[in-house]
Amino acid sequence: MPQLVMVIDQKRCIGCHSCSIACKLENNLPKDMFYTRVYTNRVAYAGENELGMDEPEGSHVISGGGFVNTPDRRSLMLKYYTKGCQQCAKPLCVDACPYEATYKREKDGVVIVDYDKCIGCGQCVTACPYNARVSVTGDEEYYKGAQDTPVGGQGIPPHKKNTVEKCTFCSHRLDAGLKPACIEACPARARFIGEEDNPSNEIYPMLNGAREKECLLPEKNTEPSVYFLK
Amino acid sequence: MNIKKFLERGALSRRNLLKSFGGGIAVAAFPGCSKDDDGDALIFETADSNPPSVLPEKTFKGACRPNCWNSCMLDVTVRGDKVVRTKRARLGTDETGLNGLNEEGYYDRICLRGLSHVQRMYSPDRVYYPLKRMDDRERGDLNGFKRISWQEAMNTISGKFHEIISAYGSRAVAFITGSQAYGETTGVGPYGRLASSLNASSIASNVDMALTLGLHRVFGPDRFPFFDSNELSDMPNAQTIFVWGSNISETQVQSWHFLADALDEDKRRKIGKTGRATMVAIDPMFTVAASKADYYVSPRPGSDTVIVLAMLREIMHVRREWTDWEYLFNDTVAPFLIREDTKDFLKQSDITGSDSDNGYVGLTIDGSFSYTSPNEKGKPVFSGTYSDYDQEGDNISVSLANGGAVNVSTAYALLKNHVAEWTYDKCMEYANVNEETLKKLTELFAAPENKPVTVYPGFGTDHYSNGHHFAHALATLSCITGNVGKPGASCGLFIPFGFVLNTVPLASGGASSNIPYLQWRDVMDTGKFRGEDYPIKGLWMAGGNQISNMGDQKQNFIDGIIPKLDFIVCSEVVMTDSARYADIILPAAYWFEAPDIVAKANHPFAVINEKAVEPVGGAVSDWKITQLFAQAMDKNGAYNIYRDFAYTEEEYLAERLKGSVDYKGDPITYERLKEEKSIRYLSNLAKNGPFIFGEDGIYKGNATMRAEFYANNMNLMMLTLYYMNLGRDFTEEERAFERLPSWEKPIEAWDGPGKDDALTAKYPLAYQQEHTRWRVHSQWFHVEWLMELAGEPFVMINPQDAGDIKTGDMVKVYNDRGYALVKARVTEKMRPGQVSIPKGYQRSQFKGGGYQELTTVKYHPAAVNQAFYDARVKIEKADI
Ligand code: SF4
Ligand code: SF4
Repeated sequence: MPQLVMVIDQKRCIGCHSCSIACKLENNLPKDMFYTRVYTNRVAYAGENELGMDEPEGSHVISGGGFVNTPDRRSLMLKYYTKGCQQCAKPLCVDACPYEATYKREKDGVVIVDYDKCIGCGQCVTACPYNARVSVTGDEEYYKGAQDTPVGGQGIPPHKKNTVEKCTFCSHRLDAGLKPACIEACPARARFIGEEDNPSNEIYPMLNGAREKECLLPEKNTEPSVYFLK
Repeated sequence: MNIKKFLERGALSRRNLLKSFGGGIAVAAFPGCSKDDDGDALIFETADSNPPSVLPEKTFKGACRPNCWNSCMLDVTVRGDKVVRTKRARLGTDETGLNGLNEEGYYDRICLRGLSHVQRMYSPDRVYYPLKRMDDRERGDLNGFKRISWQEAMNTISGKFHEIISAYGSRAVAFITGSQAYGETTGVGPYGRLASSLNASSIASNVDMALTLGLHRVFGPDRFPFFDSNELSDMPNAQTIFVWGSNISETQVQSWHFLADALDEDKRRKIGKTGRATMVAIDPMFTVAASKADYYVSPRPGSDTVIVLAMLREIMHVRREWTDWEYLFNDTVAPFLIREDTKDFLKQSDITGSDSDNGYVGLTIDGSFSYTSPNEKGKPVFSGTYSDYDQEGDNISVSLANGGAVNVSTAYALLKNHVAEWTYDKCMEYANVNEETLKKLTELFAAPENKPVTVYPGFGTDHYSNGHHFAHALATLSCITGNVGKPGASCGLFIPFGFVLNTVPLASGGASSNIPYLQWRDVMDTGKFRGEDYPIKGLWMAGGNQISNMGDQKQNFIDGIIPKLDFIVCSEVVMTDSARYADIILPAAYWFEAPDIVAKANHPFAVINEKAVEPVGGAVSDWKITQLFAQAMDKNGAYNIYRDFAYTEEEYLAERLKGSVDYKGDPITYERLKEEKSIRYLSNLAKNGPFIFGEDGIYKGNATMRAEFYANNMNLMMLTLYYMNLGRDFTEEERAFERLPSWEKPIEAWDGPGKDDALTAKYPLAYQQEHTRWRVHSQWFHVEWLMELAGEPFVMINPQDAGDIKTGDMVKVYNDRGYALVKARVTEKMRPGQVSIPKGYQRSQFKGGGYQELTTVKYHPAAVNQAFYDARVKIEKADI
């Protein structure tokens, strides 16, 4: 099965959250729900809120009047990870679903939830080591401005209560020949998508070049499809 | 590494898990909306026969234009009568000026704010109808308003203004505007016209003028203030990029990818360059931009001028081989002789006695004098060459035609002597930057292998009272090293505002008089400005949220000025700090609710903004507001101002574009812009590369047509004379002092040598207000999607300064002017000794006070610029 993967270039990413907001708009997400978010230095933003955002690792050394950072010695470091569904090659959520409501698409390996089959039991939510899934209970608060006319993209599957949702790499856009909303929006041109093993793809040289790359939780053997270029 | 904790933060935030469902959701009539069996509102689950994908849609071109400089062209999608989506659109169709990369869509752009327009437009904070403050309510009461009709609103406003003008004259009505929208029919544009038409007073906001003053002193005043640099797509051509006092990666996100390309070896290879460029960031705060830099320096706040002066010293006294003699002597005033007595340029006529001899006098390579004569472009040049010129020409006596003699020195020699005092030790003491760092910075700026150098300055340094010296020094450094006027070499900002726009002549009225905000309170107290009567009684706030954005918000503005006004009008899109202090609020249309054009941006395109939907409620465009007012005013008497507004929105836009040309010289008409959507207007000499500022070496705004690092134009030496007349005279000493870039300590923030001991003891921390990605000044303050991420206001403080204050504690940040009650965030982002509250939150979002209460209206008389970061505060735990 061909596998679509996403590549995030951390040298270009500026943590601007345009990807998160593009996703929120495209998918008409309710209050406090994000399919994808930006995390600072991966662990630093494990705190509860904005008070940890953009928090550098290291310390603001100024004694002696030297450079804080040089190419060889860095006292302060800031890096961003954006995290949504990892579209794993071996997704634990698919195995966990008792109703076969979640599956990998043949054509591109994207993990999909069939809202008609899903009853919102939440097994997949628990199974996902990335905490990429969200339960929709019907209690979600949609914004006033968005209520009388839903916002967002064409062809998004309607939200349905008692289901589970997540990032689908904007499968509805992929089907229309478009890139995911987060990629289209990224002002830094830091996000890329393509088939992992297809040498004619723009991501192929990125993944097979000199740059070091990283995936989240490789030890879970889920074979995630999101790469961070360091 | 706590990866597990990171991953615990899932798609749904914890806040949401705790939140209870806040009652029913009103679903208005919308085809396809239904209720399920339980009666719960479904947000947009539609009948199978009518899924969202087949709902009719229409897409318009919109220009996002909030003075973030980026002015993105957007596709604005409408379903029914609502905007439901904004996305980035193709900006510019022309291939020229992109750079060798010529990538498709190199200028396409949008950001998180541009993506959340739907929330801004349909926000509960939107002003839908004209509102009047109820008689029993105080000014400032957010809930003190009731809806009135447009007729009542206009009758009241015109009646009041007529009353005031009849009693006190037209100057008694003042307009204060901001930078809410870079448009012509929306935002500030129409109100400037109205103020002129009425012959009323205008309050100038005095913002960002120091950087302008410093750069324009050197490069000339013939352009809009913020235009002294190469097109930003030129950045990949630079070998070294200095980002100085700017967080380009957070506040001008659309400029970042040009810089990112410069740092990308593969992209550089495509334009024939080897290896990546080097990025240097200088900022007391560890910003996102700083995190991207190869070299990052954290200087003492307000000390940046010292670093530049010391770099100049290093080059002029130690590494002379790094001087670009050719540029200095062909394109700057370096060889020109300056009189010791007057500090002015020695003129040919001073020596020959003949007024018709209008050359300047310079020192040639063999040490003799030579007069300039104008070349075919009128630029004064010498015959002979000046390559390898190193005649310093210090303190030479020349005989004058009047029989006397005067000592003269070259501008170069004066500068060299002037910077001699800035030794490494002194730089360390003032800026906290040591010898090794300084040498490396100088090498990065001046050594041949690191050229060409592009400097991207921000307004961080501008926000101190000495900001104009910094900019003057920086432009001088670029001159000495020849990092100007070439691909990859530039120093300044690229916002070629208003280049294409024609001033539509007024039929009536004249110029309104400018009163600096920084002096406004005095004018209110004394009724006088420049010795003349200015009994200001009426105020119209429009096109910006000035109560939120002007310094010393509480004591100066809210308590000092507002109570002295008899009547206040505010045109606004949403309920801001400013609107709540008005007596009448007029609902202004949002950007996509009226036709407009935008020709102000950090890109070189004129952009169309199509009207996508009707305005919400009773809102109308700012242009229509001024029309309605002019009509109502004319009914009161012989004002006869409506004729200045007797155009439809589109007629006015067509007028504004009259005489505009694109980069090829072909006319840009409104019809053409409607057709082509965006048109490149800025010419580039190379024709197939980015616009290069100063490429022809002609600085036509300067009398010498050269870069004047030794200031020549007296008007420009003092911005006060350039933009506004303070009615203050400058002494000879003051004028002489401003000729060359000099060190002056910041008015309040300073804690280095010569600091105010009592003040620094009382208020131990310097205070700035970081601009963040969540807002543009105060705009987007209320947008819920962004607020979910940005959270409530907080103050950032380094652990060394925090004492027992911990992240999340409620603290009071205060000084003599006011306070703000906020959460603390203890963070390594901040340099020890300086704290920051992110800018733009409204007073209603603070537990008490506000971020702008703490800033000052003290200013440098030459720059008349708001020194927002030139403040000190103290922080204490608050028990609430
Ligand atoms: S939009 Fe791009 S730059 Fe911004 S956070 Fe997302 S990936 Fe990073
Ligand atoms: S806020 Fe600025 S950068 Fe963002 S979309 Fe609008 S114009 Fe572009």
